[in-house]
Amino acid sequence: MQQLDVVITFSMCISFTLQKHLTVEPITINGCKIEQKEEVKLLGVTFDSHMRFSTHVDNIIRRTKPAFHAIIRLKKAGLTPTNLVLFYKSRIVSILTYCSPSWYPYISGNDKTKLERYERLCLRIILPNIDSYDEQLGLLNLSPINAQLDASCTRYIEKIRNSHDHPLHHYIPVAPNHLHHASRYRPRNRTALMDKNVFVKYLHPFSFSIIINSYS
Amino acid sequence: MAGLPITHIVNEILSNSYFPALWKQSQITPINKVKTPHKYKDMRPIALTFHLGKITERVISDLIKCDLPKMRNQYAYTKELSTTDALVKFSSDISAGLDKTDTVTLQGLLLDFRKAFDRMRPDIAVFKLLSLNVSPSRQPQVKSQENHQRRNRAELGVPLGKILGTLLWNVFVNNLEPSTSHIKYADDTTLYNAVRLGDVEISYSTAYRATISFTQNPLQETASYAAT
Repeated sequence: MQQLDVVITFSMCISFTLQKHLTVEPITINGCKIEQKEEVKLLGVTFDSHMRFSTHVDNIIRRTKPAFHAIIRLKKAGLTPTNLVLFYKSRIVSILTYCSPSWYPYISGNDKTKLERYERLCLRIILPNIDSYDEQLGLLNLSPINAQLDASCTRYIEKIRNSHDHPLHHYIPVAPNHLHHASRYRPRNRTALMDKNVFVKYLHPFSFSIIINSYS
Repeated sequence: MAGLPITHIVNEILSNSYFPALWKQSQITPINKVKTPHKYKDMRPIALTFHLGKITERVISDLIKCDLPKMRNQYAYTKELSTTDALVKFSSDISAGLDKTDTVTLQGLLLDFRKAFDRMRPDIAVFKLLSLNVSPSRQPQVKSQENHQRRNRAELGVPLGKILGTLLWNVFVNNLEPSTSHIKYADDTTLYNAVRLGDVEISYSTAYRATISFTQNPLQETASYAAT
């Protein structure tokens, strides 16, 4: 019987940590050291060892650069703003929002500004005559990129909450039965990183808003 | 209007356990993996088959799926699951893992199978299908998966672009279950594990060795799987 030679060749490892400097013994398997990386790309999302996703934001912006240059050319060719915004949504926003629930909750304010600045840049090309960003958004019937990313996270969590046989359904914290017990369900997280966890960050504001409304 | 004869054909195929030889042929369209391909290796062969064959494949795959247990930790080619789910699980597990007091670090190990799809053996996948209690009456159709490439018989590999190919692949890697937490997306497997205070050696070697032996001795491993 001939041997199946599927071989694992390309393996990397990454150590996630909250400490600034961490020296970990590299993983050795059969006397062979596995390459230790600071950042790894997994299914198109760049994970860094501190879960900041700063490189990922840079990467996705860089990935949309060809489309960005295409917008400039299409504008020069005289395409209408309606069509340009269609192009912008399909070629740029789609890349920026890819897998957003896995990385967007973790990014810093700085990176959010970076995304917004990039959108401003695009809109200034689509509508050069209008100065205000809000006005541009209103005219093009768009919501700001950060709001879109936020909404997609919320939608994602809602989807999981509503589909009971989803493999991630048990990640949803148990919903409070009685409103006055709700405060007990606030997870006591040790780290700021856990507060950013998509299941914590995007689920709890809802239950709290209910409480606030019922007490006011 | 076309539905009736097609239903008839598909039913005949199923009852006779015979998949027409012509439908097994496929036209290979190479898609570049890199910008400027120099070798055959740089291209991904996408197999285009006859539409009627595809319809039949879909029917067969739906039938098999009824019998299959749920694939655990497999996010590719599964209905209603996507890369988002795999990545959300990964990032959420990491932040939850780092939240625990005794965790020093979480190590992720990314594995890559070389030429995974080209080297998969359909016969082993079929054997695994049998061991997953898929009723044998549905087996012969699966065997007919071996396709022809430029009139050359393909003995190995999952034909990319075929409906049953992806199902067979999922079955093939289904019992790759390392002891650590992991996510699988098609041929990407990522293991991750928390390193706790006082851990001297990271317990990856066993999980990794299990993965290696899985890929190197599929028959032996399958036999032991079937025995359990």
